[in-house]
Amino acid sequence: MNPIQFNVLAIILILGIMPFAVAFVSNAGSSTDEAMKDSITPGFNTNTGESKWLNNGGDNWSWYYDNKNFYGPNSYEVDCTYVENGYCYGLFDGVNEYPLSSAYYSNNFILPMNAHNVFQTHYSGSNGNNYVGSSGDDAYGWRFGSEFFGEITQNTTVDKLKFTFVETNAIYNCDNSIFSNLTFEGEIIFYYQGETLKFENFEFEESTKYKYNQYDNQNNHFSVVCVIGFDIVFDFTGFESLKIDSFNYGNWSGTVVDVLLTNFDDGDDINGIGQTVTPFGGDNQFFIGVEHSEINPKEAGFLIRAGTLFLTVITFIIAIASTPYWDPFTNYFRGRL
Amino acid sequence: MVAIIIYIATLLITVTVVAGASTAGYLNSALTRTVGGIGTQIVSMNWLYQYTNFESFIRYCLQGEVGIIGYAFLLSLGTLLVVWINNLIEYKQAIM
Repeated sequence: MNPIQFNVLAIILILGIMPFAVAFVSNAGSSTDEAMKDSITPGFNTNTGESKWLNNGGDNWSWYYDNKNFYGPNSYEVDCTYVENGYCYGLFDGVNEYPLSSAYYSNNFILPMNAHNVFQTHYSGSNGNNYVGSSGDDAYGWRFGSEFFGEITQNTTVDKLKFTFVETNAIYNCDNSIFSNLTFEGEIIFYYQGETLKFENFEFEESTKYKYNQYDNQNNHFSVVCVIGFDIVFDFTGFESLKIDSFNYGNWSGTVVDVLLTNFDDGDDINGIGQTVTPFGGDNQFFIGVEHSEINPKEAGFLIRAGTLFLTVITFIIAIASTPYWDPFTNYFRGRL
Repeated sequence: MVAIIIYIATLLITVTVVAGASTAGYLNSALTRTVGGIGTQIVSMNWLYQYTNFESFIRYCLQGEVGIIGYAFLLSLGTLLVVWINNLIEYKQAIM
């Protein structure tokens, strides 16, 4: 081999083989094929008081709210014309919070996974069908208390967390143009004993068409329906899963999670998602399901460390072999190239 | 620190590519070598940052997330880069 060929080999090692090996080691502790499990315990779940809306699409203030003497039948909804960073803004700014629900009863009859029924936040005015203002095209966010993670085994960590948002009240023809293709970004923040751990820059591309088997109470059978909804999966690398474990020590009963979705773009609407039908925009209710896949942190840690040790040894061997004092490369390629 | 390691690795690649191209009769002028070098640096850095988790793996090793083995890996990677830099200077090829 001539010098150029040796140099090409070096470049292939750094740009090709090394990153591939690093990716392999990083994901050594991750489970890729394990089925998702329910995170929410079925049946009645005590409201810890932690769960609430963080953001509901940005400034929803419209002319209807300009008359501050307007008191609807549920004045707290007027108080809360929009939610920002966990607090309501409207008649009283930054005081009230908007809980996800008043009580939690989850089951897997409505959706394929255990899911909680949750309030939407846009007030319906006395004008009838439509809710007041617009959905807003800014961030949506929720804080999930530990009642959403009751089925995550203690002393384990998660490889994936999946959140499903579905509005089941209205069924549409699956070819209906009401469904949209959304792109957005997400971040997830874990809270434990006053500390925070944040993972960000997740990118999502989802259709708002959620197709699933819904139970028809009238006819007593399941049928495939299309409703407004989608799911998002926060997929953590082996390192991130271990970081979560060293953060909350596998204590999911004391862990709270924020999910924030931002930078929405509706590929089918140049005006943004202000008019896009989303499962969480509106004046009714929707369902949130949570699932996870868990991994044993000790196993994952061992696999990652063993993989890194192997990579270290190989790298040292290549470094020594790159010197004139030991030239296995020359001997190997002699006569072949 | 992570950025320095990535920068050195991609600089190594850039020097290797430009020197190799020059030896083969391409990039004969200072301008073409400069443009070729900058382009190679940008492409290889973007590749390692955007399309691989090489940078985050090095960061985890630096932060002690992988324990002492992570530091050993950084040492091995540093050794490899030093050897290749020395080889390029002395012998005009990365691997002997």
